[in-house]
Amino acid sequence: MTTDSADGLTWVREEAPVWDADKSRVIGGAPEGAFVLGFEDGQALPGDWWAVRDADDEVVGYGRLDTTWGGDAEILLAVAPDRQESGIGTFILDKLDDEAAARGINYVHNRIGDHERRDLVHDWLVVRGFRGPIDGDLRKRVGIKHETGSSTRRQGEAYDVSLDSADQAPGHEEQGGYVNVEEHQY
Amino acid sequence: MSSVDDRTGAAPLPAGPLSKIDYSERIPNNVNLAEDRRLQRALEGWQPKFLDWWRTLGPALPTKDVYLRTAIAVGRDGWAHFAHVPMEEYRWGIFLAEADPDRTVKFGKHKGEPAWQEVPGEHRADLLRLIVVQGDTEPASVEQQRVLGNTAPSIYDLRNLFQVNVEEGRHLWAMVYLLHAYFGREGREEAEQLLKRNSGDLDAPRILGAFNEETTDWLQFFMFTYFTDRDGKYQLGTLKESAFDPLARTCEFMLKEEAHHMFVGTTGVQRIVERTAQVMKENGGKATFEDGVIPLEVIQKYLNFQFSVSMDLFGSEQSTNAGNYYSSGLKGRWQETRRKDDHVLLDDARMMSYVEDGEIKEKEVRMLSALNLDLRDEYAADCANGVRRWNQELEDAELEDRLLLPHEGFNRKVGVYAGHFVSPEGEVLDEATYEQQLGDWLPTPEDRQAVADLMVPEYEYGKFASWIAAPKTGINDQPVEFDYVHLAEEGVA
Repeated sequence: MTTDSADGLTWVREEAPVWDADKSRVIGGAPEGAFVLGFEDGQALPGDWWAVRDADDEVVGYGRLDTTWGGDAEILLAVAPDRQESGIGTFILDKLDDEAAARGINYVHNRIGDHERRDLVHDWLVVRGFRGPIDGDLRKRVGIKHETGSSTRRQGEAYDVSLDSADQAPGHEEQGGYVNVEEHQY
Repeated sequence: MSSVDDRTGAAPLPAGPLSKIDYSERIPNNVNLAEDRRLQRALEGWQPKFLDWWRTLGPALPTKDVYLRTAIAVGRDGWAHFAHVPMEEYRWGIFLAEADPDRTVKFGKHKGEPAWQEVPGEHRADLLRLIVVQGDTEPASVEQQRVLGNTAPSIYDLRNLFQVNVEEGRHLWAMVYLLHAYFGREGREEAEQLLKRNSGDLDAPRILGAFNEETTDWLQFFMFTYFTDRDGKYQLGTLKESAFDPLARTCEFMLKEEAHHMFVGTTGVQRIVERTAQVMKENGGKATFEDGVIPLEVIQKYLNFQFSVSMDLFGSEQSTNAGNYYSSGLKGRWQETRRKDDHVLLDDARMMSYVEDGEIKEKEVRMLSALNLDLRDEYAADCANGVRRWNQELEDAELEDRLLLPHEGFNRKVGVYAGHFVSPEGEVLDEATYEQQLGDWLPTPEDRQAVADLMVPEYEYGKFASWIAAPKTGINDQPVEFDYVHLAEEGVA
């Protein structure tokens, strides 16, 4: 199953997911402690997995949905280290949202590993609708999506406040304007 | 009577003295709540909110009182008391099964260690989530069944509905106690949320989609209590094994109450089949809605629907989290202590079905990753028992027709069968062929409307609607025609 996005990203379901070189590069590239997976090459992976491919067919991210009894659904989201802060994480989260909804699940959970960037990850999740402590269970209502209009803006690009109907900057404080926490960029 | 199974061995003998519940307390309990003033005050603060929720989203039919079972002890004998009780005055309370001071963890990496009396920091988030997910399902079904009383087929069945409802409410209390007692401020906030999320609420729905659908008719209610409450039974069975002792003891007692819900479902469907079979025999073949009964093929469609959506409740066949819950000692397997293996499962494997190239194939997977599937298999085998019992009614009426459990891949949205089109017989079809036949397999809006049209209330003591047979016996040795429910004046009108 594939889905094309306007950004040239493609969402590809892995029918028989295994731990491989792409996962090692993308997921293994996360800060130490972010994920505890411990799989060997070729080992079959539990849960539902999707790869994100860019226009050059390179894998740039992964999403996983792990569901147990009663709608207890946890997501895993990983973006290739050299492709972060370009909207791929938001793309994955939106797609995982859709996948959860298709399974009749109204909330998804996430847990942040103990690593050097956990504060940033927590903030990133909170502005995308997750609620919960940094060292605990974070939960998000499925269907509440982050507005991606500003997410495709490139770093360093000037922010034009006149185009913002709410007269609020998207959280790039150094560029002026108020901080709209819902639009905050990391 | 105990059963012996080659795989699981003999059941342990029941143990433990009777533990009386103190009914002089504002919140009946057997957890010495009076000695923990802070916890008591917190729960007393939650109680009015619960009662408010019950008044707003609990049973809609006005009643004076109902002949209800209330827990008075948690030991193996004489644990319940029956009396007519105004439902709002039902003594919801906190009851844990007897403590075993020598209890040890029976599985996972903590196997052999003493069971936990407090929440270990490393497992706090997981335990909180498990309790919240379990707690969310309890009030959800009460909300779903809110208006069913308006179309009850008899006073006997109305009483059973209300009994299920009040006990689901008590199960909510059980989870809220754990949240308040062991998870501090976060637990208290989650307890509030359990009342704020509501079935069908667009902004704050219940966690699982299946618990947001209204229960529209009594056939669906009986199928729900048979298949979906049974699902809950299996979940409670895994939590009963938990290393976290208060959770284990809570779920053990909940299981005792849950047995009645299974009974309501099993006998409810059986009595519908009995009535339909009787008319089929009289007609020399078919029975239709015009005969005042539910046709067998419609019962089969409801069965197909409720079984398949209940199978989805177990989650994906393979799950990292399920394996982690097991290894950490948070959730065991169904009848964990009766399994004949090492209870660690690191080197174990099992076979799993999946769909590839239009065929259902099998492959070997690690047991630890497939614990959702293990539980689901136990559940499906149990479901088959009820279907055999229902078919006995058809056999007794000398009919050839039989009800069948659909294939595990039919109508699935979760797991390896999601996105594939598997018939109830287990044939993998293309989408067009599948969609063409779906109306023969699942209830259509017309089927549901025709069933709903039969749902006319019968409130005369001892009388039953045309589509359901009377039970063989009443509740707690009372006659079938007993005045189980006294309706309020406005309920009768």
